[in-house]
Amino acid sequence: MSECAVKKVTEITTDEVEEISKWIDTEEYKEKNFARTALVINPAHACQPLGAQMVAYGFEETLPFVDLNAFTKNAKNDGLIPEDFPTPYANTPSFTGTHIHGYDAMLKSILAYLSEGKKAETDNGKINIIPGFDGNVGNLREYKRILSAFGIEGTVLADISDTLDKEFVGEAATLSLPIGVKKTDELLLKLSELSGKPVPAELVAERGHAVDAMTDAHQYLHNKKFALFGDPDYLLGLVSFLLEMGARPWHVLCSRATKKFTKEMQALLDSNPYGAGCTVYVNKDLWHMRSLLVTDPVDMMIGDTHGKFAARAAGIPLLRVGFPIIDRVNLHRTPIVGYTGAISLLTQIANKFLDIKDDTCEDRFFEMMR
Amino acid sequence: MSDLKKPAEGYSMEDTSQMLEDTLSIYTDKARAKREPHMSANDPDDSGCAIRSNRKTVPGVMSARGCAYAGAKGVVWGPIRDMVHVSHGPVGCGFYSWGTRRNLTSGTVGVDNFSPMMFTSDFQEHDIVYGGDRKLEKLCDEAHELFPLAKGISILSECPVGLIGDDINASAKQASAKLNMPVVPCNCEGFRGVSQSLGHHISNDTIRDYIIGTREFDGPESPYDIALIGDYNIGGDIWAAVKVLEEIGLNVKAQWTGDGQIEHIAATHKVKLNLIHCYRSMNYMCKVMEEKYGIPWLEFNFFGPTKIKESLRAIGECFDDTIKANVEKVIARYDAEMQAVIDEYRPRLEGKKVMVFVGGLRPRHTIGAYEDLGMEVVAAGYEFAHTDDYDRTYPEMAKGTLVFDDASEIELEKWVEHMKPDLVASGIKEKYVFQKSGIPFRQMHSWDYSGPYHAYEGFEIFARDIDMAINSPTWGLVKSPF
Amino acid sequence: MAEKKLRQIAIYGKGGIGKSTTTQNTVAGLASLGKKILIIGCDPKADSTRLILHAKAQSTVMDKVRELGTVEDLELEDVLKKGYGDIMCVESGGPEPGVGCAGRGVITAINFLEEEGAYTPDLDYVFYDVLGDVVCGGFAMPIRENKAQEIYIVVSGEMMAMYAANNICKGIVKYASSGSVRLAGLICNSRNTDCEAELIEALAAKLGTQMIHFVPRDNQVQRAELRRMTVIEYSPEHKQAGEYRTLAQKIQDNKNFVIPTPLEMEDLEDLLMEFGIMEAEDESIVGVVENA
Repeated sequence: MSECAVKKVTEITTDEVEEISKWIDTEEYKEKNFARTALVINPAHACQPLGAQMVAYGFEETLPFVDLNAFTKNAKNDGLIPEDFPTPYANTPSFTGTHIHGYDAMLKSILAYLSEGKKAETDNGKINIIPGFDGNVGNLREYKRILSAFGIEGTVLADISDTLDKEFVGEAATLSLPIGVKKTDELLLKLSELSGKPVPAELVAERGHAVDAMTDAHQYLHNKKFALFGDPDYLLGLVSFLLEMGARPWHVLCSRATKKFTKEMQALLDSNPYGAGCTVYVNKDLWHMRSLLVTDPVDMMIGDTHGKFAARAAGIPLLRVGFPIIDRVNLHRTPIVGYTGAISLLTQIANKFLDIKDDTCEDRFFEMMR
Repeated sequence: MSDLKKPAEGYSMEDTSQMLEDTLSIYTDKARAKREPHMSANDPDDSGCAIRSNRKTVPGVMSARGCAYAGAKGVVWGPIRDMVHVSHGPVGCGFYSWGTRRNLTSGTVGVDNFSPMMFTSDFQEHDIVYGGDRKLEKLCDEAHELFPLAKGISILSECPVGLIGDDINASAKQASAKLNMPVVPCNCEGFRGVSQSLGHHISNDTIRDYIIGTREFDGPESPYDIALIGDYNIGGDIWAAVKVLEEIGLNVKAQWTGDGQIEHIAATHKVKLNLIHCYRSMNYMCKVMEEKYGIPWLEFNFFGPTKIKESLRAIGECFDDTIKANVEKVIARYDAEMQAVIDEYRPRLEGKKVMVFVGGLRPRHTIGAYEDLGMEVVAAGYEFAHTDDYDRTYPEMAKGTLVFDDASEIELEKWVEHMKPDLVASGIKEKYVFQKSGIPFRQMHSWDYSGPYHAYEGFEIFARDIDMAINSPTWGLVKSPF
Repeated sequence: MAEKKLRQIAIYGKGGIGKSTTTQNTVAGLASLGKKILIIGCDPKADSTRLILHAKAQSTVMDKVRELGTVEDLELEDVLKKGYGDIMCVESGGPEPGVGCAGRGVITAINFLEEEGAYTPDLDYVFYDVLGDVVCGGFAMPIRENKAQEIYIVVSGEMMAMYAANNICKGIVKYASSGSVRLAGLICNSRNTDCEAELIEALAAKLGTQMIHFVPRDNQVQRAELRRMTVIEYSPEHKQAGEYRTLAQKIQDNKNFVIPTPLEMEDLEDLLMEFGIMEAEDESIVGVVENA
């Protein structure tokens, strides 16, 4: 065919927009959406270098570079880098794992590098806390406060809130992120066991305040349904806290996780009657989450800033927890771990619901007290 | 060319040259030799002032530059609202660039507007080892099924795709035929070129090869049909600009690419004039359309009332008396409004000095807006500009001020220390370095989450923002009483 | 009992030189000396363990990763198989030629094996059998730090095989200067070319190493291969089996580990000319067709 007419510019009509707007909220669409195997839309995970950078920033006067072991050694041999200049290296390809793996790989590399040749024959009696990938500097300060309340000499490793230290310890314990009362209890008991010191009165009193606050405010969270997304550590802690409150985790979505995480999360949900009915989704993204929210609604979503579009589509509030939070101020300074963190989370969640009630209720139901 | 600016008070050729000498002394001989030609005291009446630009960044320094992918996805393709833009490769490139450029779009998200979303093939280990072509073809099918109103797909290659040699062009061709819409492969791997600038060029070339001329506007042509090129609608810029252009009687038929629509872009070869704001990122296509379709193009500047006025009159010159008359009416209407803005802010900003370090356009284009507020730009540098950008910059700057290219973090710190500007206007990577050391700062890529800054509407916001950055009472608290 | 020292050995050489056959027969020889060995096939063709397992490996690391979607969910027993002489076998696997990145597959597989503890303390040897041409960094993975310390290059008297050996030495130098990897010797897998043993001895000397063994050509190897066996298993009494046992013993006793001194192209050509493999370049015949 020669000189076939060039097609005209077409406009999308308002009818089409209306039709598709309705369609993407349907069960049918959700099924199509969940049948996706190749396209990832609005992912809730980043890649390894982000995690590695966060570790590196946690060591003062450290610059993260993309580098190679053999390369840096040759550079040292050639005198381009001083021999005693530390150049720990972690291989963090962006197409494997997530930012969490990058964090772990880099921290391991730095510790291995700094301790190379230093024998750890004797336990120096100090305790290191490895906080994991956490952009909340308030959390890191909270760990330090807990250690100091115990009178334990310790180090928060890769502490982006402050500074650098180098020692290693012998014994290791892996705990979940201490979000909520039970997980914080576990941390304090472990610290007490490792240090041989009792849990300090200050923290016992704090526990009392937290439990007091949670009991007083339980009515605002009880049976409320929640959608959560984020990193495995955060999710385990947040779900534990919600269950303590009698709230219902409903959609839990982790965009890159192993079977081990799924098992651990399922066990946590199964351990509590309020965990019934919750579904755990792994290797799913925030466009899947949108489908879940519009077809099976919940009262609130918890996750980082990237969840705001799905929350808006569903007409529910987003409680900003996790990394990154790039649309609200100062949340990275407010700890959510420990007993004070539990109070803070509770305050934010309950008041969010109460704000919505006051903002949206009819005049005749607008009351002085809530 | 306008008259040379009078020399800036407190800045001289000698002093600035000495400062550069001190700065360069921190480097090894090899690094110094590379960096020296990229910085100079401005000497607008001397043709010898030639900043070297568009060269590879010195390895190891902290550069503010982005990569070809950033230029392609973030700048040129990303703002087109009715297409699905796929970041092809591992998740990070798309994730970190998701929603961070502030190129606003209209429409319903996920229905007829896809710019606020992030699409990726999220490469895993096995995609690298076995290649991602089949995944790409599948992904296009899925996008088409889930977003039936999307008018096309762009595929933006990340580094690993180029390294393993995936043939995205073949996959795109196949998908395009199958789905009956443009599926545009953009080979913009980050390792190509020296900065995001090559990504702009590559994207312009893909528009040339796959898009332009494939549509025509419905309805009658008019002598006032124009396209607005190189406005990415940061914080609503293009809406403010289009408003003024319509007020003078022009029909903005296509927007490149802020709040853009692909079919309108495809029909741009039918307009009568291309107006280009960001010359650096889109001059390529203006030149292509001029050569191929005979469409003239005109650079203009919508920052600050002085430059807006000059630009509107220049635009009017391209049209008949009706438009010329409209231009004068519009200028008269806004003059009073703008004077009120100046009257409010200028007394608090008079004489303040600014250092600007942004991409490829704004360091020179915003100078007039600062000057409208009584301020002076004493240092201007670009991340990824070319020689033609610097040639357009020297005459805008006073003699003895600083002009520079692809500055490293340490260089900026040295210069700020020496020149003591009252405001640093640059990007997110620079923001906290300066703000946390007590120097007022505005991000000039993202308008620091404000905007628009373009056109009349934008100037009022610009003036307010600059005032609050410099005069915020929080600066008064910095010094502790104990 | 003294703690065992694990020896990690990588076998390189030009494609088609007989690396896999040599490796498997040598490993079978070491097994017959009572050694515990793990073979890691680093070639997408996945034929490095066929003679030990009597079958092509059913599932390679990359096959399983593709199937499961993520390497995190992969289990060691999915890919690690035991064969003749209790030799443990694993194949990295990878794509068909022309797509993807086979080198990355090698990196993935080795990382996985390390993390999952495939290098058990009872092992005496790990052998990496690597794709013929080190075309990218992935195929150098086995000689990066803390992996193979000893490299043997399989070579023959053919010109291209020797070129390849020299090029591999260049790669080794890069890693040897920053790490502990060393060249341990050339294995001559005979093609019955002229003065082959002398030539390889001479090449080895120039490279600063040794010809650790000259393996004569013998069709018994092919007969065993048809039965998917090593000669050592198929006909332990055959003299060729004895050759591989000798090679195994030499490797067991080897202490000659060096940073190689690769040859410049001219030196290599001089060597070849010295042995009559290559003739002095006659510029007058370049580009001139036959019967011109």
